[in-house]
Amino acid sequence: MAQPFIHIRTNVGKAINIDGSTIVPIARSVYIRLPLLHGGVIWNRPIAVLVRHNDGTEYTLPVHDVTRRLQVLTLTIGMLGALLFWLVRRSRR
Amino acid sequence: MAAKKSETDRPPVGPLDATPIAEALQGTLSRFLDVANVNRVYGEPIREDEVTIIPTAEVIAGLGFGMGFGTGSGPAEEEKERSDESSIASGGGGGGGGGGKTFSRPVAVVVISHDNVYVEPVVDITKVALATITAAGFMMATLLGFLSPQRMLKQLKGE
Repeated sequence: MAQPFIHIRTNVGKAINIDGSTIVPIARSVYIRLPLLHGGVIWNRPIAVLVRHNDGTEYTLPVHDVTRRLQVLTLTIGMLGALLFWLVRRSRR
Repeated sequence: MAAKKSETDRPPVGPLDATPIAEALQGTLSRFLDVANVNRVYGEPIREDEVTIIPTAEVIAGLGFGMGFGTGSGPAEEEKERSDESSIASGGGGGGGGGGKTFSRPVAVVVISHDNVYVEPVVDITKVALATITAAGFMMATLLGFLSPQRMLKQLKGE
């Protein structure tokens, strides 16, 4: 059976017990197969940790990639700003 | 008189010992696929006094390889000149290559302190500054008209 071109999987790691709290790491991996070649690209990143305390409380803490978000935000603002300037210049002619 | 080469006289074509190559490729591929493991993203807990931290990172790995083999046969040039009788020369060859790269970047740190658990993001100021400079460059260039398509077309036409 042919493997899919893009394979996205959520992986749950082994629980870690620290100071009465149980931490369960969760990651997501994206595997992109290269057509006509052996190999591919794997992008693996943390998405959240599941926290379980001894008193029974349980919650999920998301792991945000702040650097990536700031990069995307800054570049988007830059591109939109450039587009805006270009439109203003064009309308004035 | 040139002797006609039989099939058994041909040089061995296939025996580029495939087993070690296949094993090496299999090992490389399995190590590559291991990047998708959750343990590659979350580090070992580090304890300092009352605080324990678990570092987390983003991992990107790329790998590509390929190989090929080929055989061929035809009349040997020297023998063709000496004699009218046809003689067959044959040969084969193969090759392969590949490459890969792994990138890793810290994303955040999970901090466990007493009963308090929180995630502290890791901000790479250098990357953000580079993105800001690039964005500012885009805007400045457009503002000054360097990226104007009309101007670019005029420059290309030599006007």
